[in-house]
Amino acid sequence: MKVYKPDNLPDTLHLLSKLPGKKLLLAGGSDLNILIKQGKLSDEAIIFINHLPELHGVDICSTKLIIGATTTISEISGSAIIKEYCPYLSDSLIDFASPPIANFATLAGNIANSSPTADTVPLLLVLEAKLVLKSVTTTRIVPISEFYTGYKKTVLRDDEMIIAIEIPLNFACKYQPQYVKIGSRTALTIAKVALAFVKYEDNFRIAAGSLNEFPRRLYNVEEYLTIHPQNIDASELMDALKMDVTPISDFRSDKEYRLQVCFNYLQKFIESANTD
Amino acid sequence: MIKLKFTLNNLPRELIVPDNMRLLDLIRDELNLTGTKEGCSVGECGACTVLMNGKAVCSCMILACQVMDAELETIENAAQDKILKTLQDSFLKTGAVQCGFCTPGMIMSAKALLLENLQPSEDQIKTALEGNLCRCTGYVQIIEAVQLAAGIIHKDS
Ligand SMILES: Cc1cc2nc3c(=O)[nH]c(=O)nc-3n(C[C@H](O)[C@H](O)[C@H](O)COP(=O)(O)OP(=O)(O)OC[C@H]3O[C@@H](n4cnc5c(N)ncnc54)[C@H](O)[C@@H]3O)c2cc1C
Ligand code: FES
Ligand code: FES
Repeated sequence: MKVYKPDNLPDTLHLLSKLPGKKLLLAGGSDLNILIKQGKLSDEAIIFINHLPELHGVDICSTKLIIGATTTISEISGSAIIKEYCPYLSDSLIDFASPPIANFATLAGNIANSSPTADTVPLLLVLEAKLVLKSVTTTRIVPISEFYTGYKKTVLRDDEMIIAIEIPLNFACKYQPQYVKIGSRTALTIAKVALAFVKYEDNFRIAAGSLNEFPRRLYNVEEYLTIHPQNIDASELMDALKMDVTPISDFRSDKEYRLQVCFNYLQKFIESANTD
Repeated sequence: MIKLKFTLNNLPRELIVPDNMRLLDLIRDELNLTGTKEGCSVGECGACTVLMNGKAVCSCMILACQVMDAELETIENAAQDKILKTLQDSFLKTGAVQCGFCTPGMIMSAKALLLENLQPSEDQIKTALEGNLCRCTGYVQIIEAVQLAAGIIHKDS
């Protein structure tokens, strides 16, 4: 393993495109350093990015919030801009890991690590956040719903990195998505189920984590609810949910539990949205 | 190998360390500061907590080369730092130390909290310490200790 510490973003992109073999960016390192410690990395080039000021911080323009790739989870939950425009995002991050992890773990690292349980992704899915992917020669903006293609697989090319996460403001400011993370305990827990939910006008955006190979929108449930705004039939709702999720049993939980808990929270969120 | 520059407990340091060395090993094995403990090694127990630029971090989860130019603080700084010293005294006064293995990490997390908030509520203390596990005390005395220290420091400030 060889470590690189580029001075700026252009040098980082240059390293990504020119270095031979496998390259890994290291932001906080809260995922990657486990692999390093376990000796699972050998020839990989490790490129540090958490010192790059141009990737750091939360910004706002007239249409969107822009979160730089090396902004930490604690910085986002404490950001005055985030608290003003998306307080629910700030609140959702309180249960992320614990302070001594969230103080250096980054949002982009959570997204790029591509865990099915990545806590930040369900809410970003309902906000229709976009990822800015950059290489030496290209910049593309990819909706987060199109970023993952399979278990731990993404559309990110070898020479690309996430430089920012963008959240469209018109939706984020107008509606208040709800988010729940269910684990074995409140602090320092890996989600068994995570659910983000928002009703807007007569439509819904709903996304779940820990129930598929990657966090995803529940389009069948959304469609069912839009077509049946009032008389929801529990078994039809469950059928729609089953089309959207493929929970598995593992040492953390079993698939029946995950499905049922997701369903219960879905009903709870629908009820509270309909009484608002 | 990578050349590192940082301050540790207010003293400037320069060292050459292996690329894959953890901050915890740098502190304990290279600098012989053994107040910082290693419990779980995977970021879950908080025994290895130190302050990096005033924020609590798990030193078992950070590579030494990530701390370039940072200000680091470990429990050994209690010898000169007023907040750490007051926390240490309060931990003793309330009986918050039993085996003592979690105590250095608890005190570092508590200092990070007090740097931001000298009048923390019980819930804020619990949140600040949620990454620090204690197998002995049941936490009640630890929370009391932080409340006691916060009160003393707030009164003096
Ligand atoms: C004790 C503990 C508790 C945790 N709790 C939670 C939790 O509650 N919820 C949760 O979701 N996760 C949790 N995690 C996992 C981890 O902390 C998060 O996934 C974190 O957000 C990763 O960010 P990082 O900056 O540390 O990533 P790193 O480890 O630096 O990187 C992770 C991956 O992303 C890639 N990467 C990083 N930045 C970029 C970029 N800009 N562009 C492209 N690729 C990039 C890296 O190459 C690597 O493959 C926990 C981890 C630990 C150790
Ligand atoms: S040893 Fe670092 S958190 Fe347990
Ligand atoms: S005093 Fe023994 S672990 Fe806390």
